[in-house]
Amino acid sequence: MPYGVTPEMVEAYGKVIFDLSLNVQLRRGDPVRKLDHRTWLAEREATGLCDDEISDRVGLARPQVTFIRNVIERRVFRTNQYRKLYRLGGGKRYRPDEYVDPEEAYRVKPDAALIRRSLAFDQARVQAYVASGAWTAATLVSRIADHARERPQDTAVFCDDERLSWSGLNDRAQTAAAALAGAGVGRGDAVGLAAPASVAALIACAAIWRLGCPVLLMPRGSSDHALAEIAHKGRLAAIVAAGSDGRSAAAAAKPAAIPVIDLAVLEPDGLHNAEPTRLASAVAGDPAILLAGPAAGPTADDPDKLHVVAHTHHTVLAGARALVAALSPRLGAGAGAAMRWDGAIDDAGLESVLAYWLERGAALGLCDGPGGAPGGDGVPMRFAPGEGPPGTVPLTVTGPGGADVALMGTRAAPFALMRDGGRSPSDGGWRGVGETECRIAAGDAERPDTLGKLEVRGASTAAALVDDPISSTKIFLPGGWVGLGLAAVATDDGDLVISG
Amino acid sequence: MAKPGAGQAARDPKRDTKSDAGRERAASGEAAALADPDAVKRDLKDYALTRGAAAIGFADVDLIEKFAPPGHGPRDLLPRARTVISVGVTGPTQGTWRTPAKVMTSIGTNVSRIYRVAAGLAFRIESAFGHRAIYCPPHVDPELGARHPMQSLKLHAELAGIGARSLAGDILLHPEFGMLYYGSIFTEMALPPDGPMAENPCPAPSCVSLYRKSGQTPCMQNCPVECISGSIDDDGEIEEMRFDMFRCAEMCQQYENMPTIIERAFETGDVLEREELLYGGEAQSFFYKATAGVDTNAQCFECMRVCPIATQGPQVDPLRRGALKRGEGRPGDGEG
Repeated sequence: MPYGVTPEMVEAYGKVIFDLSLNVQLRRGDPVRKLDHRTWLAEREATGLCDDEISDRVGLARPQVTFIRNVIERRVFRTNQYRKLYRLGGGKRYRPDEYVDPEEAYRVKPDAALIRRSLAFDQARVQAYVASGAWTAATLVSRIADHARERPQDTAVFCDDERLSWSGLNDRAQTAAAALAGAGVGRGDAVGLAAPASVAALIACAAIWRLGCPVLLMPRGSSDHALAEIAHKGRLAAIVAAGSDGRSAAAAAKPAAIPVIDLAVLEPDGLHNAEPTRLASAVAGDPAILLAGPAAGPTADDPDKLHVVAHTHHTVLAGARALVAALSPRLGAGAGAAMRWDGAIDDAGLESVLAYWLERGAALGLCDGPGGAPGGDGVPMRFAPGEGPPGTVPLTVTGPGGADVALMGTRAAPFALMRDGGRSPSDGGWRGVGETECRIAAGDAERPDTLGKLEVRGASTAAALVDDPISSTKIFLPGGWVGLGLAAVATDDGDLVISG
Repeated sequence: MAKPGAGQAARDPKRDTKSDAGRERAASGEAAALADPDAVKRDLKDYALTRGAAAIGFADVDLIEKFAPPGHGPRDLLPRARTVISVGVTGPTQGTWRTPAKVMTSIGTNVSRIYRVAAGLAFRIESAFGHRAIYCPPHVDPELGARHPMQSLKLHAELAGIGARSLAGDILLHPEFGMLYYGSIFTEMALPPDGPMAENPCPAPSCVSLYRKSGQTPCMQNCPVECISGSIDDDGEIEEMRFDMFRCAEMCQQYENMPTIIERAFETGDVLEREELLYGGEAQSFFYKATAGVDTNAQCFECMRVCPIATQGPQVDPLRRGALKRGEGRPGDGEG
């Protein structure tokens, strides 16, 4: 109890002492300069008093006044205000509504932090990916901006008769991001998307990424219970929904009271009140895509079990770059060749296709028509869901010349394996895409000539399941290896034969 | 070089560091002091200006005591003080005014120059004129905390006529030199006071115009913590000035920073939060400044950066002053 001052005295006298002190100064006119002592005396209290004078006014001892004043000053003192200076600098006018403290700009909510905690990459692998250039500063958002700059009028996405250029996509994504932020989506919040495949849905994806948020494409036609479980496990902070998907989204959102945002809010007509977003833009280490479903095949875990895996801009773009390098020579797909997704929006694998699309900068056909086939006949490159063992995500890619490539991965390792031709999954010929390493683990020993568990690692593999450490240890292994949950054997020439 | 006089021949040349010319000036100055206080003022003014001061003024101690808070008058420090001398050095260079805030906070101040001039003047008064003098401590009262100075250098300068209170938190402005850094000297020697300025240069006409349009002056608009507000009357003079010093202190003083950081580090249960508080880039920078004693903890010049008096007064600009001295006219003349 310094100087006999109690906490109650600090509370009782703090405000009056603070207001009387030099901390708040109010001067009327110019009495000192004019030597107008009488006016100065009358205004004395407002100009701020010294502690001795305050002591006389409030009837406390001077040391008590000093102590209370210093305590109150400390309480109202805000650290890090000079950040405003550093960011404004150079005499720019300060506008409180335009300034965002950097700590605030990158702050995420606890659920978003939980998703981030699953990005527990092996540090040696991170070093390797950064050193090799597999992980760069590029994001899905920056790729859109790149294309908008380099080929502004080229078609970015088309659906039936609707087309949107890269510059249009970039602009619409910016304003839609502002609208999302205005609707309460914060940086890093996981956002579910429940909407038909459309140009508007892709704009929503881009807007979600712009806010540093991961998007989770909600499976359509799932039960309300399943959707609610996905929403819970994906730690969704909001669901963007449209049309009939809106009702399902509402059912998914209800148990956790997740806000449902109408996709129409992001349409130009709904953007009247969209202010430029003040949230920091996405960085490559942010989670970009959440994949819900089994994370691996049957040998690793229960293939029916619902997992959520977070992929960052790093991992999805690393996978996409490797895929571009691998597919172009095989399929003869040039830089400008259009591509289309022949699946539905909720078919597993679309997320990988989106990353590939943004990395390549091709025009993407995506539509929720019959069979998911978009308009635009003669699109030379087509992606479609394939066949594969439970828990895997198989894709088939057909090139302009009719040649095709099969891709297979899991939600934990989406861009893992490929082979030429669309034979049965159990046929051989699988190899790791790009720099993806593959190994066969049999028991504790690694014996490449023995049937064993297929494990991969590479710049596109995830690090852990969201909020599920026990299951994570079954799939995500030391050294950055990821179990695909498949049994396989390696042939003499290094190809893999998958036995399911 | 003048030959030493008879009385000087016996002095040890190794111990006598004062030049003959200096001794002669001192002797003539002391003589002048006895006869002509104005001559003393001229001598002290010459001394100060030669050493880098831009302005010097003299104030009557009785007048300052009348306005100073109890316990904070010159005679609380020097009981027989009769004159307060206020000196000011100019603010930053024109280049500095144009630097980003990070640079400005580091190199904007000129306080070291004023210390040299003010301390020198105190010695000059004692050695040349035989009167006690002190260099007024510019720092805080050691019993009252970080925001309580021992003396108001502002009050001294205002009553000595080398600054007038501005809308920008009462920062003194000089019509010729703009924003000055001030120092004070108290002496027992009686010297004629100069008196306050007849006119206050603040607000400048352009600031009045802006105020009429927007309700704010540039200094109000540009304060990052919005610590300045006020009003201008119909005659274009300051009607009311409100200064939330506690907000300004968050930028300029930050004395609470270190204990606040340590206290929060103790309180937080989050390891990374603690590491950011103690070892984050901004924390390290702060601890570096605080422990190494470099610069000040922080400075903020945003109100002065946009002040036309502080940055564009007739003698504020060293570039212009230099050009005039060199007979080159005003820099920029003839340029588009």
